[in-house]
Formats: sequence, C-alpha cells, structure tokens
Amino acid sequence: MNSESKRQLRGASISHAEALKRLHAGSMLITATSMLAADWKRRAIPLSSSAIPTPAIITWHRWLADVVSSCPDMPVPFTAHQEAQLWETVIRHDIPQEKAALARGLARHAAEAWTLMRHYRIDVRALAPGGEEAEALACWIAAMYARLATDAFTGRTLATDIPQHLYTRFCAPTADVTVPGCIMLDGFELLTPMQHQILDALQQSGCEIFQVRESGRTAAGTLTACPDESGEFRHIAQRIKILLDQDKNIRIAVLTAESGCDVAAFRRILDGVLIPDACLDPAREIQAVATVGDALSDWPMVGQALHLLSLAGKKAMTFDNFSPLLFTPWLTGFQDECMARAALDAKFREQNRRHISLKGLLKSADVQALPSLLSVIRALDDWKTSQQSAAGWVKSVHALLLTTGFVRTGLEHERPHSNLEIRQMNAFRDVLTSLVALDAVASKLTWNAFLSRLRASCAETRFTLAPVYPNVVVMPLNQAVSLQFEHVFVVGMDEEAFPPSVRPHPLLPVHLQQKHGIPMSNGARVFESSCWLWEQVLRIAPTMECSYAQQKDEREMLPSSFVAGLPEKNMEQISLLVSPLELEIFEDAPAVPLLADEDIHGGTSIIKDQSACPFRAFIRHRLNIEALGETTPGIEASDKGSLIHLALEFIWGKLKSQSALVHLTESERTVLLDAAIEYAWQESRIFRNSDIQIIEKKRMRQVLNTWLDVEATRPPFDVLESEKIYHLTLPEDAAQSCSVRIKVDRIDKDAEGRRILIDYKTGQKQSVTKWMGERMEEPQLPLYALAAGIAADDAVAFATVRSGDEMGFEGLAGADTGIDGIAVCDGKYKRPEDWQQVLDDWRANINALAREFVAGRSVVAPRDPKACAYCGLEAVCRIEETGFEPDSEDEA
Amino acid sequence: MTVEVRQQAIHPARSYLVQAPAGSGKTELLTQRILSLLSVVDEPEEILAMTFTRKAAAEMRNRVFTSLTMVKPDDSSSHKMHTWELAQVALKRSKEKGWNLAEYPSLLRIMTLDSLTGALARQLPLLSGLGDMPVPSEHTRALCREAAEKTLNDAVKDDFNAVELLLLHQDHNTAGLIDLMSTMLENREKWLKYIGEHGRDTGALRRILEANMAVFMQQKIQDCDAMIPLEVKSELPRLMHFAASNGGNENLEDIAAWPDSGMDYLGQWRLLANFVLTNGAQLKKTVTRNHGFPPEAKAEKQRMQNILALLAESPGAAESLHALRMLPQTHEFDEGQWKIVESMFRLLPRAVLHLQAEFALRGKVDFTEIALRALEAVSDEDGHPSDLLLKLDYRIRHILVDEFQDTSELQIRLLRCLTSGWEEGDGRTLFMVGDPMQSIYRFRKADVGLFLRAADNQVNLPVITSLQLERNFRSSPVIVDWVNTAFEYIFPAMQDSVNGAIPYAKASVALKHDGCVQLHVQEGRDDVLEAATAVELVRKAIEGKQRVGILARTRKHLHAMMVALSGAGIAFRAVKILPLNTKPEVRALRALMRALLHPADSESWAAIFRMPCCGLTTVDMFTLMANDGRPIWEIVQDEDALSCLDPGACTRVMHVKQALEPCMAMSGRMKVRDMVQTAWLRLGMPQVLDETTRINTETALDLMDEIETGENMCGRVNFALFDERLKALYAAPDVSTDAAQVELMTMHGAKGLQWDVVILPGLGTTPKGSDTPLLAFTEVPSDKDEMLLMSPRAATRSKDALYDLIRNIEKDKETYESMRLLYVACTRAETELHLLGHVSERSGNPGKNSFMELLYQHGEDCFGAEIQIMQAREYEETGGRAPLKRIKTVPEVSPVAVQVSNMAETEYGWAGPEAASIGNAVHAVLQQVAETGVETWNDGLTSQAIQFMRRRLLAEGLSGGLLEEALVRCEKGLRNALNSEKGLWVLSGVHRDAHCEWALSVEDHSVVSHHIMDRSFVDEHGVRWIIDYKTAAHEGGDIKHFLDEEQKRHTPQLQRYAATLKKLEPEREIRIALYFPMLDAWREWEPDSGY
Ligand code: SF4
Repeated sequence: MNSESKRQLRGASISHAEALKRLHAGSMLITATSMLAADWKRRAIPLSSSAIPTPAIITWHRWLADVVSSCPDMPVPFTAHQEAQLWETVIRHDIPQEKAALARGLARHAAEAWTLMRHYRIDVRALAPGGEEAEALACWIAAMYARLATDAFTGRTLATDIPQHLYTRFCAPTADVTVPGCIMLDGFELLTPMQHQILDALQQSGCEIFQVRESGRTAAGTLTACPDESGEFRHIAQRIKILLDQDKNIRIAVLTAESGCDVAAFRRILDGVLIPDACLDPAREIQAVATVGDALSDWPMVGQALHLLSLAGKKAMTFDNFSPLLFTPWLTGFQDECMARAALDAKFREQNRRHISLKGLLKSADVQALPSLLSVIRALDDWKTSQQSAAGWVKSVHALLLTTGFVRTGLEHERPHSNLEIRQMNAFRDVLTSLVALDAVASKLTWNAFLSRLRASCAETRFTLAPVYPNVVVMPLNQAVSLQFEHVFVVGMDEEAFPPSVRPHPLLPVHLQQKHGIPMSNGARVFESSCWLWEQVLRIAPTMECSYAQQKDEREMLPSSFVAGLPEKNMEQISLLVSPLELEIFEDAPAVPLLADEDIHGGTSIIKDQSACPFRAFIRHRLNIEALGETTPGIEASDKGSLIHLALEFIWGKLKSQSALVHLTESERTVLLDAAIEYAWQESRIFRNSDIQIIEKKRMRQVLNTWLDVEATRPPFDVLESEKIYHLTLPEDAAQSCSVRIKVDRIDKDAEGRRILIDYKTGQKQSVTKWMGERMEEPQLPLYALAAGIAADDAVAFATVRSGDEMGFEGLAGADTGIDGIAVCDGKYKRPEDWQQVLDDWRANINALAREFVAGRSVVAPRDPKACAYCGLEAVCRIEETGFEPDSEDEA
Repeated sequence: MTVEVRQQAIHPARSYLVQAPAGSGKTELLTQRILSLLSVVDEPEEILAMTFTRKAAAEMRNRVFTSLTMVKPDDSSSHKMHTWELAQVALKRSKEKGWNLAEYPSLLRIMTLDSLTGALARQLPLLSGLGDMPVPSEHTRALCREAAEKTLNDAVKDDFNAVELLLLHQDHNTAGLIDLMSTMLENREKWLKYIGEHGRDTGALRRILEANMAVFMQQKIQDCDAMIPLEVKSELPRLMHFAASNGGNENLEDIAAWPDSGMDYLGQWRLLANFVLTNGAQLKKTVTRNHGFPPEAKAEKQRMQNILALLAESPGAAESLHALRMLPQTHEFDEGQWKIVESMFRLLPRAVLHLQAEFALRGKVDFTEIALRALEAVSDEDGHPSDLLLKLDYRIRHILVDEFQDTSELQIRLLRCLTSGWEEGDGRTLFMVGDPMQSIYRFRKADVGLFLRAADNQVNLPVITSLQLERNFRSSPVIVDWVNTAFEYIFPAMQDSVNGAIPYAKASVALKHDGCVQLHVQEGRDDVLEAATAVELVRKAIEGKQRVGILARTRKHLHAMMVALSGAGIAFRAVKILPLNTKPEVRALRALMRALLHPADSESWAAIFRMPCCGLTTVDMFTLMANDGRPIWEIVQDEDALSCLDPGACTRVMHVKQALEPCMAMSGRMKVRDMVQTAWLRLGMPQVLDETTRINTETALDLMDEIETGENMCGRVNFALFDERLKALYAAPDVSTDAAQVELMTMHGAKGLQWDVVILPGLGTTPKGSDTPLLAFTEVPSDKDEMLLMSPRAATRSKDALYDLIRNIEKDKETYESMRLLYVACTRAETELHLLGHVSERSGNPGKNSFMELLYQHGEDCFGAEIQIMQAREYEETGGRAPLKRIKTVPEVSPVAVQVSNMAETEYGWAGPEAASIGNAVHAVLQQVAETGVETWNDGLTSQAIQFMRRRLLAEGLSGGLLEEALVRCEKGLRNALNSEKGLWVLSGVHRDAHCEWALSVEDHSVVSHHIMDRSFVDEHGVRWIIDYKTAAHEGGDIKHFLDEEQKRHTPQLQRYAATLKKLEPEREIRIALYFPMLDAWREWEPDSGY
C-alpha cells in the first residue's frame, strides 16, 4: 500500500486562517486529542476582545458520544468500569481457575484489542488460526456478545460499537440525528478505516469535510548532549528560567520523547529552579509548570485511606502493615495522641510484636490508653466483609472514612483540611462513587474485589498540583501534534527513544496487525509514523531545542537520527543556587562528668561500651538513647538465651551439685528439664504464640539435655551460687563512682575447693583473647571475677550452651581444673603466664575504664574499626567524617 | 590464521561457536557478522542478537549504527575497512527494502535475555500467565522473604511437622530459615522442575537419588582405579599386609587383593588411600616404622618407595585417591536428613505460590519469573518448544549470542525454543561467541559447562562449528607471554563440564609495544603499605599520562586504596565501590527521614542535633536531653529546657526547631521525599556540604521515593526496607575529568574494559567462604543422560557428608572460576601489570585460596614476573583524624509563607453517588424545556424528557434501585420547575436574547477562559439574567442556612460569569441568580460592581 495515499484524509485541505474563519462562522472542528481541542479554543479567541461564543471544537470521541446521547433510541453505552467488569466476567468464565487472577489484566488487553479490531474493521474470524492467545480472544468476544444479547442488557452497547451504530445512522439520517453541514479535522495522522467509513457516510449525507493544513513553517532546532538524564533536566529547567525571565507569559512546550521519562524527577528539578522559595515550604500546593500528575493512589491522603481500607476487617496483620496506622495524620485524634502513638510503635518494636491482631489490640491496655486510636481500631474490627452491592460498599467506605477521620464531620475541634487535602478527598470520592456503575453488570461483590477495583481506579486517576506557570507544559511528544507554542523543547531524544521500538499489541496476531497497518506493529510502520510525527513537531513552535542524555542506566546513548544532524548547543551553565555557609572546627565531645545524683542505665554494658568507644557509652548510658528496633520473625536469639539461662538457674537451684545430676534417673531428668523449661517461660515473660513455644521448648530440651551431659563428665563440683546479683561500685576507692549491677551466672566449687566462675554463652563462641588488654572486648568475665572476688586459686570460664557440636568450656585458671577448655596460665601457646597477674590486670583495666566513664570521657574513639560494627551511632558520632574507616558489615 | 577464522565467522549461512579470548576483537566480529547478515535477510527483525547486559546491548547497537554511518577509512587493509565494506552492502539492502536502517537503530533486535523474555511474556499475557505485564525488578529479595515467612506461618497450621522439623534443623532460627528459603526462591528455576517431577512421590525420588549417588561414587572409584598403574595394583596389597603385620594399621590385613571398584569396597579403598597418602592430598614421601615399615625391612621399604614413585608419576592418581577418602561412608540418606528433604518438598512449592501472590499484589516480579513464564508460554506441556513462535510471527532466522561463556540454563532452554525445527543448511544460523576463560558470573547463574557442551554440540541446539580466535590486540608482548605461561599452568589441564574446568588457550601477540609484569610482595599483611606502594605506581603512571585501573576481588580491598589516594591528593573514579550507607551525608539524610517520620526515634533525633548544620557538643546534648524521658522533639518545644542551654547552643537548637517545625507538621501529609528534601534545604545542609555529595543525597532521596510508592504506603517509608536497599547502593564516582585517569573497580566490573596500567591489590587475601543453601543439588552426566544429585544442608553446626560431596562440586566450580577471575583481571592491562600481595610472615606461604597461592603455584618466581619486595618506605601518615566541623553562625530560615490560594477549595458534601448524575440529567432536561419554551411544553414532552433522563442516568452508570430513586428525584425536579412560578419564568420562551448552556470565551491578560452558563436572557426591563441551576437536595433542617451557604459557595463562579458578560454587554444591567429545582427555591443578587 502506498503510504502517501493512505494518509490522504477526507475532503479538501484548508489553511489555518480559513479554519478560524469557519469556526467563527459556526462550523465544527474535530480534533484528535483533547489537548489540541483546548489549544484551538485558545487560538480561536481573539486577543483582548470582548467575550465571544465559544467555538465548536471537540474531540472525535466526545463528538461521537454527544451525538449518541442525543438520540433517544440509540443504545446506551456502558461506562468504562462496566465494560471492564463485563470483559473480566467473560474471561474469568473462560480461563482455568488457577489463572483467575489474570482476568483483570486480560480484560484490559481484550478490550483494547477489540477496540482496535473495530477501528480497523478486522473480522473476528481473522483471529483463527492465530495462536492460542488470539483464539482465546475470539472466544471471549463471542462470549461477550452472547452476554450482551441477554435481556438484562437490552438497550446497552459497548462503547466500541458506537461508531458502528452511528455509521448506520449517518447513512440514513433521521430527525434526531443532525448531520453537521461542515466538519473540519485536525491532528490526525491517519484515520482508521472506521473513521473513514463514518466520514464517508457523512459526506454522502451532505456534510462538507475539511482537513486543516499543516502550517508551512518548520523550526530550526539545536541539539544539546547532556551527561545524564538529571543533567538534561537541569539544563532544560535553566533554559526555561531564562526564557521566562524574558517573558513570563511565553508559551513553552516540553516534549518528552520517551514514554519512560521520569516526569516526577523532572518536575522536582523544575520546581527547584523555577520556584526555589516555594521549595522551602513543605505545605506548598503549587508546582512550577503544568505536567501530568501522579496517580491519585500515590498521594499521601488517598494512599493512606486505601491502606486503612486494606486493613478493614482483617483479623491479623503484620507489624509493618499496622505501624503506618499509628502515624496516619488524618486519623481521628492524631493531634493529641501522635506522640503516644509513636511511643506505642517503639514499644511494639521492642517487644517484637511481629503479628498484630485487631482483637488483641482492642484488649491491649496500651491501646486502651489511646481512646481515639481505639475507636479507629474498633471501626476496623467491626467491618463486615460479606458480599454486597457496589453501592453498598460505596456507602460503607464513606462511613468508615467518616468515623476514622479522613472525611471531616464538620465539627469544630477538627483540624481544617488544607486545599490540597480537600482536593484529594474530592477526587477520591469521585472515583469511589463512579464504582456504583458496577452494579449494572455484576451482582454482589466481595470486599476484596471491590477494594482492588477501587485501588486500581485510584491508580489510573491522575492528580496534580496547580502550576505557577500554566504556559509551560510538559507532555509526551506524540500528544503535541498540531499544538502551537512559542518555543519547544524535546527531551530524551536518544536513538532508543525515537523512533521507538516496535511494540505490537498482545493478543492480536502480529501478521494481522501488520496487514492492517496498526500503529507500532512493525518497523516500517513505526518509522513512517515517526517521520510524520517529527514533521508535526517541527511545526509546533518557531524555535526548538532538542536534547538527550549520553548515559542512561550505564548505557552509552547516541542521539536519535532525527536530531543527530542539528547544530550543537552547549549545556546551560547551572548557576549554583546555594552559597556555602562558613564552617568552624569545634570540640565536639568534651568531658561530661557524672552528676552526683545521676541516673545511670545499664549493667556490665557500661564498661563494655566505654571500652569499645567512650562516645557510645555516653550516648547509651548517659543520654539513655536507644535504637529503634525492627521486628523479626520467630523468636530472637537473645530471648532464646534468656530462656536457657533461666532454665539452668532452675536446674542448678534444684540439683545444687554434680552428684545430684549424675544420680538422676532418665525420667527424673526429663521431669526436671520440663519443669525448668516451664519455669523459664513463666519467668521470662516472653510471649510467643504456641507454635513457637512448642518448637522452642523442644529445642531447649535437646540443648539442655546435651549440656547436662557435658556437666556430668567434668570433675565433681558443687554449685555455690546461681544467678547471683552483685552491686559493684566502680571505680573502686574513688570519690565519684557509679554502681554497676552484675548478675553472675554461676559459681561452682570443685573437690579441691577451687571456685569456678561460669558465664553461659548461648551465641557465638568466645575466645579468651577478648578479655585481655586495656580496652577489652568482653569485660563481662573480668567484671564477674571482680565482683565475686575470684582469686588465684579459682578459675573462670565461658560455657557455650547451644546446639551443634561446640558445647563446652573456655576459660582460664591458675592450675589444672581437669575441665576441658579451661587453660592453665603457663605462658605456652600465647597463653598468659601468671593467673594472678591476669586478675590484677583485669581489676586495673576495669577500674580505669570506670574512671573514664565517671569522668565523662565522651570522645569519639572506637577501640578499633570492628568496634563500630554493630554500633549504629555513626550518624551521631560522625566518625566517617574524621577519616576513620569503621568496619562496615559484609558486602552485599 | 585469525584473519581466515574471522572471515569464516561472518559467513551468513553457517552456524558457529567462536572462542574469543580477551583482546581478540570480539565486538568487531559480532558487528561484522550482523552487518553481513543484514545484507541477506528480508527484514532486520529476522536477526536477534543477545547480550549479557543492557549496557552491552546498547554498545553493540551503537557499534552497528556507527558502522552504518561511518566514513570510508583510509587504511584499506584494516578491520575498519572490512567493516565499512560490509556496512555499505547492508545499507544498499536497507535502501532497496526501505528499512531506513541508518535512521532507525531500534529496529535491530539487540537485547538481553531479560528483555527478550520480557517481550515474549508481554506478547503472550494469557499463556505466560502474567496478564497485565508486571514490572520486572531486581529488588525482590524482600518479597521472597515475605513469601517464605508466610509459608511458615501458614504451614504451621496444617503441616506443623514439616515446619517444626525444618526449624529445629536450623536451631529454631526462624529468620535464618526464612533467609535460606528466600535464597532457594530466588534460584527456583533450578529446582522447580525436580519438585514438579518428583514432588508427589518422594519415596521414588529417594530411591533415584540414592541410586544416582551410588553410581556417582562408584564412578569416582572406577576413575581412580583406572589411574593406578598395574604394577601398583599387583604389588601394593602385599605391602599392606606386610605393614599390618609390622605394627602398621592392622585393618590393612583385610585387603587380600586389589579391591574391586564397587561401592562395597569403598572401605578398602579408603584404607588404601590412607596407606599411601599423608593427611593432605599428597603422597607420602617416605614410610617409617609407624607405617609398618621398620628400618630393617629395607627391601619392603624400597618396594614401597617404588610404588609411591610410580603413583607420583600417574597424573591425578593421588588426588583421586584422596577424593575417595572424602566420599561419604554411604550413598544412603540419613533418615532425619531425608525427612528434611520431604519437608522442603512440601513447603517450597507453597512458598512459590506465596511468592507469586506477592508478585501479583505488588505488580512486580523478578526476572526469573518472567523468564520462566515466557518459557512456559513457548513450550508445550513436556517442555518442548511449541510451534507458537511461528504464529507469533517471530520470524527469527539468525541468532547471535554474545558472552556465551556466561550463558545460563534458562538461556539455553530459550535458545532451544527459538531454534526448534532449524535444519542444517536451511539458511537459519546460530552464532555464539564468548571466552570460557572469562566466565566469571556464576553468581548471576552463568554455567560455563554449557559452553563446553555447546562446543561439542551436546546441548540440543543447531549444529555449530567451533572456531577459535587467538590474536591479542590489546596487551604488550610481555604481558601476553606472561599470561600464557602463568595461566597455562594455573588453569586445569583437562576440561570438565561438570565442575566447569576450562583449560587454557594460548593467545598470540598482535601488538608490539613495551610492557612489564611485576609482582610486589610483602611479608605479613599491611594494607597501608600495600596502598602506599600502589599510590607510587599510580603516581608514576599519571606522570606518564597513562590510564590506570585498580582492580580488586572485593570492594573492601579498595577502601584502603581510596584513603591512600585521597591522602596523596590523586583524583580517582571509584565505580560502585563505597557503599552509600556509609557516606556521612547519606547517614544524616537517613536520620532526618527517620526522625521526621518517627518522633520516638531518639537515635535519629540525636543525629540531627549533631549534624554540621547544628553541631551540639556532648555537653550541650547532656544539658538538653539527659534525665528527661520525653521525646527530643517535645523537649525542644519546652522553653524552660532550652533556657538551660548556653546561648550559642540554644541558637543552634532554635535553628533546627525553626527549620523542622513546618516539616513536622506535614509529616505523613506529603511524600516522604519531598518532606525530607524540604527539611534538608531548610536546615541549610546543601550549603554545608560540597557539591560532590549532591548525587549521593539525590540517590538516597530517590530511594525513599521508590520505596514509598513501591510499598503502596504513601507518606511513610519502611525503615528496614530502606536500609536493606540502601546497603546495595554505592556512592557516586567523582565525575571530574581529572579523576578519569585512575579508575577503581571490582574485577567483575572490569570485564570488557582495559587500561594502560593495571594494578591488582590484595592478592594475598583469602576470600570468604561460600554460602550453604538449604538444598544442594547438581546434575552430573551419566551414561545415558544427566543424573540428579541432591542433599539437604546439615543441621546447624553439624556436617552431612552427602551434602558436602555435592557442595564440593560447587566449590570446585568456584575455585576454577576464581582462577578465571584472576585471568580476566590480568588481561585488562595494555602495557603494565602490577600484582600486589602478601605472604605469611611466618611460613612465607601465600594464604589459602588467595590469588597469591595461584601465582606461587609454580614457585616464588611467579612465572617470571619481575619481583619487587614492598619497602616500608616513607609514606604519608594517615593516622591523624580530622576534627569535626559545624556552621559558624546560624543562617536565617525562611519562615513559611501562609499560602493564600485564590481558589479556596470546597469540600463537597456527601450527597451520595447518584447526586452528580441527577444534576446532569436535570440540567439537560431543563435545557430542553427552555429551548422549546415552557409555553409550548406538554405532557408528552415531559414523559419523553423522563425517558431521556433515564437514559442519561443509565449512561452515567446508575442501575437498579439507585437509578429508580434518582429518576424519581429528577422527575420531581422537572415537575417542580414546570409547576412553579419562578420555574416557568426561567424556562419561558418569551425572553429576549435567551440562551441555554451558553458557552462564552474571553481573553484576559493573555489567559483565555471558557464559561458555560446554564441559562441567560434579557427580561422585559432590559436586565440581563445569569442563572445557574443547582440540583442539590436538602432534607429537613434550616433551609435558609443551606441556601445562604450555597450562595456563598457559588458566588465567585457566578461573579466570573457576570464579568464575562460585562465584556459582551458593557452597558447592560446584570443580575445573577441560583435556581434550585429540587427545592423550588430561588436566590438572586446583584453582582459585585468590581467586575
Ligand atoms: S560508630 Fe564507632 S565511633 Fe561511632 S559511637 Fe559507635 S563505636 Fe563509637
């Protein structure tokens, strides 16, 4: 087919001026896009004249719809929601159950495909044989029409079929169809066969058809190569600023060549350059230029309303889903309770409440202390999810939004909503109420079905802020046809974006699409379209600047061949908007001596932290600042550890000696272990659901049982102390001191009367070297030794109590204790030489650290890079700015 | 030689697999082949070129595109000339066929596997089961974890045993198990098929697996047996006997003769191995009394020595004997371990379903899902290629695959589908090119064994001919020679597709420039010294105007290097090296985000007051926060608390307060990114930080945005997710031109690049161990086909021999790959190659599994490299730490202008879903009445109008009871209007200059506006009326108040109408009014004179 002849439109071509004249005389102009219609309406109004009747300018779609609605005996088209629902129902019936979730997406494809087929007058029979997808489509279409033929839908039609109906009408006009005397067309690349048909019919019924001619002038353009997309945006923003500075009313189009252009990022940069002051105002409700908006569902108020709805009627939810509720500013009572709600969040994190049930919340004392929150939770819990009509759901949703505070009840004490908030809610309501249309084509809906439609509709709806410069418009390249501006930018003009790659429609066989010349279906067609489009773009404004980014996600890009030959223009120098502030060096961490009556938090960790880094000890124990945790699944290692400690405390409280242990019968041991485990759970007040408890108890039984075997095989001993608490005043013999609470896991006495101090470790195996040195890594045992007055005859040891093959002791002593793993200080193999010396060093080192703490030494001085590994205070101490490189965690 | 090979390789009618080593001009070859194909195809779409990365796809396309537009080169003998000639032919073809090739590069199908499967899946929404194409994403780890957690939570209810078993197996570490399961999910393409095949009958699977394992182990014995010289076989049993009776291991007695190679004899083989081997894999050097050879037994001893010598001469014998010692005792599963397999076979499929549900919920999927779905769509039930591609019109006739050494199982499966039915000589061709010696992407699922098997035509693809390029067009002869010597030795001698062993293929020299290879070694590890040595080398190279690449195995190795370079004032470009989350500006930004979103996050709040834009000291912090349990933001609101601070500190705190106050008020009400960015600006942070930090903060802000929208939770960011994602981002490199001369990157990242000087630091370090998946499995070739080996991981801190055996195959792959990684790194150099590493201070040996170990394999001469001992020369001491800085004086914070919007929004009252439709219908009907003139209106017309309204309501979506109710109300409105005095007057046909739905446009200060007035006319007194219909209903209550409100609400709009009309009829008196047909109410007033 000759492409030129294809492009020939109906009727004679007329000039722009002629079109204007005819418009004023009352003729109708039909445009391809609504943007173009608006532009024509602007052009048609003479400057500073009086008011004139708005010329008849309308889009093709709108025009058809108007004609239909004015004919009383025409079938009534379905709304978009209704059509989508109909397709979905039809498809859901046809596809296997396990693919049911696809129905929504397939419905969209099917509707589009069918529209294309109608427009290109492709017969359903042409779909076979065309592969399974096409054949399925044929089935769905048949099923759709079978459905439409039922009584329930008499007098209704698919919107796709409207042109067909009209065509018949135009061929033989009746009284209620007025055939216009003259129609002008603008902005069409090529008319689809269906459009041709309609225009033919009109012509035959005496309507004159004209085609507005492209204006003769084409812009000379320039090309700017920018390093990357954000550089390109910055450059354009700067250019726009320059142009606006010259004339603030200049009409500028910014055309984006690529569909994937990050408009949000562009908008932010434009805002930063064009309205910098507004960017300092978080409550701004404006943006710099006109752009397409974000999805309504992405706006905070609507997004959070949808989130709230998604929790309605849910028995249980994860903490991650629940937590945002505590920070939703629109929920009733937020003003008064916000701090308490944040505290509640922190508490739940600390308690590792990974799963939240609404019923549980209603009973929780913490929630009851927050009456407004309680009311919201009650409303969510009361939500009925049983099926009802869409109209019913619309009502229920509105009621819920009202009780929870999203919709204002109009009472005085409520915080007034800002303009933006009002607009968001209004838009949301429009979407919500439009869903009542579903009732015409579907019976009752489940809550999930309704909610997902609501969510999808909100995602499809665009919502935007008011532009400060409405005369500057960012829009996709292909929507700019025939528009008129004073200056045009074309951004993202790289080889990949223009001409774009072929993208045939799914479901329709490719050969069919190519045969009918459906846009995007093959290379030649795309290229042809692109040439035409570019021709149009050249006529949009007298001056044009094109640009592209040389790097796109690490890919090197070339300019599109359509602009490659344009004269180059350099990037605009970006004026630095910020003037640097003068900085000073400061002593960031002077000593902060302990106050006499100061409340100190923490036990052995004080010394441990002081040893690791004085700043950390200061933040954690003097300012009492703790990390905000995250919830984790199952039971945490630290809880598992506490439980084992408690169980062992119980066991040795009962047994008191090794001989008691070895004399236990199998069943006595079992009873003892069970009792110990029960005790541990009771005492620890750790709450986990029963499944976790069952499993953890089983695990504890295994671990403890094996551990007792280990204990049974060492030389005989009696237990002197178990979980004994000491209060150590540190530093010893100093005027100013602090009290450190220490709980020593166990002290045994062996046959030689030697005391053996034991510290249970349920985690990583620890090595003796961590006790050594002035700033020791693990001061726990040295502290215990100090507290318990361990002397040269005694021994100290870690006891590794955990699953796997590593159970046992690791410790030091002056003489052989007969216990595997407790080494004698004999100077061999890097072992210390003198046990008493070790003990003396411990005392000295611990006192030194305590002295530091009491003196308030708070400098940022980690012991070594590893000290920072799990600290988490890097943003507070600013360690990296000092040129020190802390040991970060493993690489991803 | 290479020239002919290259010529052959572009033949457009033949299929090839080309092995193209580093520097052999592979891209040029591919370009030429594409050009040559272009001159024979009917449509450019018939050619499909697949690359490994999107970057490579773009590069390839650019190459072709540039060739098509290049000017004729001068040198007639160069590659370039050939390319140009090929391009001319292609262009001619393009012209004939009207392709516009040179203008339309996207026409060429050059894409990655992921884009191809994406395109297929998009085209097949039903068959692929993806419906509305979800967004493919690389960040789906969190979804995998969620799916795994949900699986456990679900299964605990109905399959408690399975969950309990698995959890206890992992020492009840739920998070750990979830992690392991997530990894399994990420790699599900590897095991899904096994579950599909065997999930229903695990008993049978167990028998198969055990049988396979037996075959596999037996094979090992046989292989070993085959390597032992006959003499040894006849002699050794006797010597073992002798040793047993002379104080050696008495079990040796059991061996009467050379053992059979069946599984039953495994025990004997072990004894045998122990007898000749040391504890390592070495043969004993000598035997002693302890071994059963007393000094007096000279003859036996001698015979034994001979045996050992014989064994030493049999290549591989010692290793394979050692391997036998490492085999599990039995090929059978431990009962408990088998239960684990069964539990996983029950839980993993559920996890996959959960994962798919997560995908559907978020509208995003991983690339694996798309590939699996696409494959599913184009294969029939048995996984064979379907003829669907034909119907799809994917008329692909020529396929080129780049980087074929990194091909994956999935890619091969897809290629099989795409080429099914291709016959040799039918004009369709497959062309694969790659260098197995450079296969380094196992972590991206690459399997170099596939290359080997493809080269042997064993992977069920169209038959290809193997070709080999060998000329190196990159490096100097010195380097090429050294690499030849070193890697010939380092690489395994034999190829093995099971464990990915690739023998070395020699390169031949093509260039002539000078060069060097140097090994800089130190005893004991001192990263600072190493970095200083490297800095010296860099300095020299810069002086010589050479480009330098510093490449390391892990990023961490380069951190010390960066510190040293900065210290020496050398600008460099570190590509993806420094994790973003450790950059101070990003830490500050993160704290700001968290603080604004969570008033109780005291850590983040503390960070804000320490930021350079505030800079409190510990003393100030103590004064402000100690002994006060309130959240910091609350303390800051407390004047008394502030008054305790010293004045300087107080000003600083006030600055923060003023900056953040409006943002705190907007927390949750706006997008997180915008809020944080505004706060950042208000605090003055951009004025404190230097320009280079901007990209990093932008990246972090973008991440906030992405997570906020990705999680459908606007106004909030999930902190954990943010941190997880942040961890995987890297600080932006210095983009200044100065920095371009020195680049730092990982060896993996350096693939495909080259520098004049290449420095490889940290070669002495030992890599960290590999991870252990829940289930180890591998397929090994057997007589007929492939056989599956599989075993679950051992319980926490335990061992499982079967598992280890399978993992060892993986470890072998890893070892071989690390050799190749070193090869890749070394071959990046054009003129100088510097190897930097350390050996143990004590033993002088390199660390285990380190690259140094490879380089020392043949001795300390490092294959003839120049050896330099790193000297602790004087280097700048970097020890001293920089003091912190803060702003000197507090800047002004812009107060927030209260926005006066001229269009104050009105919240609409909730009037029910039908209200708007009713309004439209009534408006339309009133228009009809007025146009007809109420005087000539009749009952017939009324009933027509009611029908009309019904249609209208229907069209707007109403139905059922709602529609009927609405219609009743519409009718009421109409009848009210027809029966009321006001209504009759408004709708009368006698007025002058009357209009309905009057559309007027007006221009004012170059803004054009359009207005539509419901009704307007000039009454008998010559007054112009503008009337708007309002169909709001109002039940009960204060009607007057309601009307007042309505009037107030609509006044601005009517005022604008009046202004418009004033332009049209400047002299005429105008009145405006609202008519309420539902209530038959009326309000009229005079417009403001201001219009
Ligand atoms: S991150 Fe390191 S330097 Fe900072 S407080 Fe923690 S331990 Fe100290």
